[in-house]
Amino acid sequence: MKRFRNLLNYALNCVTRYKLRTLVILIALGVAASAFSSVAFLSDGLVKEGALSLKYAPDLTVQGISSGRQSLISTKYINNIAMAPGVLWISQRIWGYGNIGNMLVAVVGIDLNNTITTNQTRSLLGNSVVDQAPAYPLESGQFLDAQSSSSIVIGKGVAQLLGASVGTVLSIVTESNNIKQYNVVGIFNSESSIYSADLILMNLESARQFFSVPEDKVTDLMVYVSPVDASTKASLVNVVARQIAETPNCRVLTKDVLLKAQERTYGDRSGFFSIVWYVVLIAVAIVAFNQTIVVGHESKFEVGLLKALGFSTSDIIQVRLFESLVLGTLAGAVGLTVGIIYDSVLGAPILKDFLLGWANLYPGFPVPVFISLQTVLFTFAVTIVPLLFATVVPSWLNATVDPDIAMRGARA
Amino acid sequence: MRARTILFFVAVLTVFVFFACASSEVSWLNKESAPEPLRQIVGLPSVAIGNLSPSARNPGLELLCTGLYDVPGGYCSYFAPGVPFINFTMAGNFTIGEK
Repeated sequence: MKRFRNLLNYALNCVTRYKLRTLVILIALGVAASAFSSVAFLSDGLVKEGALSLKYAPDLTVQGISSGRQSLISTKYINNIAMAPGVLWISQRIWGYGNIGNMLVAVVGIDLNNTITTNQTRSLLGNSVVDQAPAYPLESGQFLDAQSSSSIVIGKGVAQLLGASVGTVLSIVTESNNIKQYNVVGIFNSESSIYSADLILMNLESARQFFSVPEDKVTDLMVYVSPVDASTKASLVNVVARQIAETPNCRVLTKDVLLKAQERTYGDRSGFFSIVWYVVLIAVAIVAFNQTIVVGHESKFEVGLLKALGFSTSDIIQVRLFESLVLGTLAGAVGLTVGIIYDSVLGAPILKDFLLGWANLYPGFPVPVFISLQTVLFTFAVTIVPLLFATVVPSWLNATVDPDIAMRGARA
Repeated sequence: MRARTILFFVAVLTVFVFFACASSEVSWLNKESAPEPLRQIVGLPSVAIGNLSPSARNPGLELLCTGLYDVPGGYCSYFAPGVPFINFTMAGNFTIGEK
């Protein structure tokens, strides 16, 4: 133990003695670790948020398709779809996009008279049913009333942009150049802003008028299948999807497909950054290797002296390994800390725009950040392991030389 | 810089990182188990819904994506090969004959 402590002390002294090498490795590895971790935390957070939304999404989303493009779906298909064995519930939805000033908003119309309840969803998800009214994430006001056709609930981002509050009458020019007036009856809170920042929620008929959707059409149909155990759920969903897919001019999207698409979207976007990160990492490994060789030359005399004083080859390799371990851990911890602060405190400027899309179209909302244990351990691994390999070879080459030759060589 | 100071920094930063990690893991765990009536009633599987709009795509990467663009949670070309139940009737509806 004492020997170990002495070797560790000596390694730490080496870290402080070779200041330039320490600084170069710390900066290079720290930058690589912070770049990787900040992208990974944000990308993981977005995928996690998407997966969370997907958990509550319908088992199947049925859309119309016309000329190879997504289009409105006819409501006459509802009865046919409902006949398919395994279908529990079908709900209609009309949704789309609109611009208010420079901001893109999502207008969603839901069928409040025929909406699967929270308790039913919990039951479908296999959770215990809680007999209470759903607690919508509202900052002020109330949720939509099925009886009122002109009431809307808006996201906090929309409310801030328009200066709207509960009771405000909002006049919006629709795509068909008509002016529609809506009463703001509620505003979603900031906790739900990742989902609701750009949202204007209204009942189905209001959305139909807003988008001038014909009476017999909707944007899509939400289909829920009967509750079964998890092992047979996927096959049931596939059977139902196959049956619905027989309907002409329809396409059916399962949850799995949507999840894969989201993962690929954010994976590809963050992958772009990852390529940059790989380049940085390779550069760092080369810099670390180079610095170790340079310092190895400088410390030849020191190695010779240590061997003359009784240090074994393995002692010297251990000292260099301790050094690398401390440097790698420090660089990883610094990089991860910077990544955490950049994402969680500063809100990931620039990177957020890159991963989310056009920044200027969004109302502001805090980005979801997921600091997973997997990412943390991986970042530590990539800052420590390459450094260990980059230092062990030069130090072994130095340590195997005869002390007399090492000291003479260093003097020369 | 003294050797002990380095160890101190290593320890403090590592503890901070793992604390942040544990806190994040726990908060996501809580979030996942809490009921989400808004997501449930809207039913769109996405983060910030406008992100699905073609006009909100990242211009650097997705400029050429126009095919099956308006899919909840979906992104054009990523979808084309992956959707198992699209009924492209036309694709299988042809014959090849000889004169």
